[in-house]
Amino acid sequence: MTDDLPDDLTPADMLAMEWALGTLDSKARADAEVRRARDPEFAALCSNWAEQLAPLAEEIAPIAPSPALWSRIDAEIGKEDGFQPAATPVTIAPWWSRLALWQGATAAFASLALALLVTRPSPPAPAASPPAAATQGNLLAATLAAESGRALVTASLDTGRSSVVVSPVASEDLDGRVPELWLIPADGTPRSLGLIDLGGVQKVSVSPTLLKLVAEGAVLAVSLEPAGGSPTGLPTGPVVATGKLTNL
Amino acid sequence: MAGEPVDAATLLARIAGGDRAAVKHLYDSMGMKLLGVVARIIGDRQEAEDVVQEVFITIWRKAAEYDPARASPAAWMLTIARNRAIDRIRARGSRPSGSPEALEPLADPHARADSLADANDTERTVHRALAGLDPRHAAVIRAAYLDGMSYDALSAREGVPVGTIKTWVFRGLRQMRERVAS
Repeated sequence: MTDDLPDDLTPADMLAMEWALGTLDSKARADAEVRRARDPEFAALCSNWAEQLAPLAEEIAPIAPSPALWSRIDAEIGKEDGFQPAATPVTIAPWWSRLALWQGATAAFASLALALLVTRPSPPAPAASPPAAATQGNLLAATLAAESGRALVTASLDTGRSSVVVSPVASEDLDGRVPELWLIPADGTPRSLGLIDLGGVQKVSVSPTLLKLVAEGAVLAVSLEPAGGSPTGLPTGPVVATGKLTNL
Repeated sequence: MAGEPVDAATLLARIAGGDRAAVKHLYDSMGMKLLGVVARIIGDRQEAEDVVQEVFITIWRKAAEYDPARASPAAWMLTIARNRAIDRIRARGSRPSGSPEALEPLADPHARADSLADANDTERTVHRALAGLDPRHAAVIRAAYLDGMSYDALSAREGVPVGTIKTWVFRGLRQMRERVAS
């Protein structure tokens, strides 16, 4: 294929073209996504091509969505109200500081506290939280570790906030795949909580349906999936870490 | 929104601040466009609506990551929508039999004018650039971008090896960039 190739194009240039055009297969797309996240120069090439190609979409006629679509989107967003994008960590801070305090305790103390199943009163609702949705919440935590015992992420789940805060503590060779977080409740069937990023602390929302399945002893797990997440709704890739939820 | 120009960048900034009403405004101005783009790739109206739902949830979650210095709002949202749609068809291996003709395009010309209002000049330039390419190069670029066709699918359609398709894509896009720049 190389005989005719324009010789002034760099491999990054060509990959960015393929990324923006969308011609790659799943594996290569996932690899390109990883590179885009890690390599700002490559990400800029990609944005540039996405920008150049966007006008092509103008020729596609708009389609009026069914009236139910907006209701579905609005309901989904409503569930996440109080969720703040990662770039505004302010609302995460009070949460996180509580966990940091807990993590600061000695391991011996922590395991003792866990062994005694110390339950803590639900935290006072911060002023910023949405008024109506504030319910009495349970705080659960889990350390997700590989079979070797190596911890990959810690997670703390606040049922009152319908969310789980995930904090990576180690990196993982993703091999072009994306980490997906799963809740495995008492019935043993994994439910996806969505894709996570091992690059930093983040808050993942938990739908009311899944929230009902959250209980002490339920397991959180991380599997590596193709770009866009598991296509089947169940983990398809290797499970790289698991951990049991314990009441705090 | 009658007569009121919609500034999508402002809406994205408001969404980043947690403004749910801004999502509705963005949906009203871009939802139909994005559904058109996604339905063309997916080929199934219901599944396309599912994807558009995911797209707006993603926009709600990631609006804070939008950087106006790097992308126009339209290109940013199109990227999210196309990536979601293409991930779906790649995951299932092929397109279903549902044809785009089964989808009802919207007749209202205003909806189209609103959606990517600032793109018109660029659009003309890009289409002119595409029109000047080797027709085979232009055809694979359009099929890849608009229909989400993979290298394998393009290779089967054109009856040439994948390597040849790649060469057409790279040569075509490079030439297109030069023409748009000049």
